[in-house]
Amino acid sequence: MEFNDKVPIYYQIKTVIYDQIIAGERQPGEKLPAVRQLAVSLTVNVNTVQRALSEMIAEGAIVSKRGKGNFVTEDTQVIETIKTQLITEHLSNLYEQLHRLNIDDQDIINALVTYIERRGNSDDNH
Amino acid sequence: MTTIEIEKLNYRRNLKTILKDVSLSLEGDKIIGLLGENGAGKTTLMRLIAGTAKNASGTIAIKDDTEADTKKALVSYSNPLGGFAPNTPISKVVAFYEKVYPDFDQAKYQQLADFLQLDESLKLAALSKGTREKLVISLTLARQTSVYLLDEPFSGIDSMSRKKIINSILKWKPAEAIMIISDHYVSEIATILDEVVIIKDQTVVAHKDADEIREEFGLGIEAYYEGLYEEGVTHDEI
Amino acid sequence: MTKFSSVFGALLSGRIRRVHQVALTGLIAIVVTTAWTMISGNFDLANGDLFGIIGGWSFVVYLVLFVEMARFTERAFVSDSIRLMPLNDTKLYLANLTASMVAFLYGVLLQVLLHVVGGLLSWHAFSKTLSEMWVAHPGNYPIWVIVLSILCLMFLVLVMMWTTISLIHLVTTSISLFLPASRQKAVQVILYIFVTFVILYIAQLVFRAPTGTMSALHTTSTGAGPVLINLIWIAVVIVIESLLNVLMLKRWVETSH
Repeated sequence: MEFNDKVPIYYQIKTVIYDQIIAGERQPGEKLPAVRQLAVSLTVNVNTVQRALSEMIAEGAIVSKRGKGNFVTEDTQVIETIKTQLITEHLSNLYEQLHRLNIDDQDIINALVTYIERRGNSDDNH
Repeated sequence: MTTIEIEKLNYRRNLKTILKDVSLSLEGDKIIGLLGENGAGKTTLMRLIAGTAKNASGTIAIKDDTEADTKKALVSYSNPLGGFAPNTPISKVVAFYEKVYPDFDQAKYQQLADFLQLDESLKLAALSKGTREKLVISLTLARQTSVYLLDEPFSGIDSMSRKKIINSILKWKPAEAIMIISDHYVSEIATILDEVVIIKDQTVVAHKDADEIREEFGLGIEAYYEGLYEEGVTHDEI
Repeated sequence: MTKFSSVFGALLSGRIRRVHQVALTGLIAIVVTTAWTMISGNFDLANGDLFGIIGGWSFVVYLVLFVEMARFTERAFVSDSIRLMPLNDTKLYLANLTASMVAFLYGVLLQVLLHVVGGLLSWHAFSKTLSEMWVAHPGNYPIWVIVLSILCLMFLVLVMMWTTISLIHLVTTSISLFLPASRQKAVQVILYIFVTFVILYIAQLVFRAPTGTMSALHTTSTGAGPVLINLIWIAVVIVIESLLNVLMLKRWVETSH
């Protein structure tokens, strides 16, 4: 994958794995590849992967089982929280940008509803 | 215990200062980028660590060892194979390594050679730049040491070979060893670096954690490195 | 750490290959010369012509081998592949010099075999020459003492020439580290001439003291003393030069890149 060199690599690895968990590409309880394997497939340093994993373990999303490896948590509560965080993060970016253009809240909601409807239709056509 | 401890290193050659007052402490199992312009002293620093450049003042300790010959057993340096005749086949070079380096791991070499698709029967003169570098990397990584020094492994190499070499480094660098990779073009290796050491004006001007640079300055490694060089542009004689 | 035997083996194999190349070239030269002499109709086996041809070309082979082995020795001192080995410089120096000696002696052995073959083919002429030599020798010593002394002397002189070449090479390399980088080539040439001159001058002073070994062998009165003194003298020079060479390897001599 392509990394943005201006953003800490460990943070980008975290984002990738969280995205995969929320999108269901990595199921609760699923074993993650070995650290070195992850490093090779992402073309990053082993220590950087380790750092990303440590943070995810601290946040409860990944569970490390001694001698067995790292697993996606089976605690759906935690995954739900991360999902909420991620949605909030994306929404707050959107909101702040539109707010800066002096668009009021109701207009934002309307525009969003209209966009989703149109997007849904065009996606159906494919 | 730090893996490499350099203190007050000064090196002059042909009446010119190449390195002055270099102090550097490298530890752990890191991959370190040694960055600097051509002629900044990257190769000299590596050669001093490897013990093929001599007559410097100051100390270079590797795992607390300062004896020239025992230190050599702790360091694997990407020797460009200049000492071999051009008609030497790869198999002979490998046999030489196996004979003279007790820490040379034949099985590991074979894995690397298979991964990098090296043809043992080819002669050195017949190798492209990329293939030759793949051979150098395979030989260097097949030794089991505490320190690996890769001197500009990517200069003049096509991007496919580069990717393969980067992958082989990630796969086969021993977990507990330290690795220094020198380069004057950073972006291709930026994601695999733990730390960067920048050499400018004959000395180390920065030694930083790679992700810290991104976090602290919001800059890419390359932009940070170029920034350091531009600061001093007025000192350069043009 | 690298074992002495491993370095020695690694250094020897390339040199042995070169000995084979040179010996083979010599053999081809002998065959061609013999064939040419035969065609031109001047060939006389009984008169020792073959023996003469082999002898002539052998001399060239020895000369080439001497130069080639010196080149191998000197290149090893500044080669990354060899200086990166975990091995102290004394061992490296000894392995390097010994490898050249052994390879050279092996080359000599190949030439001796050729001589034996040549001698058997022209046995008549060969035995005549041998008996003439036997009669000609004037001294009081048995012939094997004389032959042994000459062989010892030649071997030691050969080694001393190599250690002297190393001394010149390493002194020049060490000194040029401290000279300006511009015009390195020209500076080195001048330096080589100067260092060679100085070392040969010192050598001449050193060897003025004892008398020549060859003349000692022929004089009946002086006994075995002078021969032995000469041999010891050369051995001492070899040891001193070697100590200096190892010191320079340790302190100053870098690999070329």
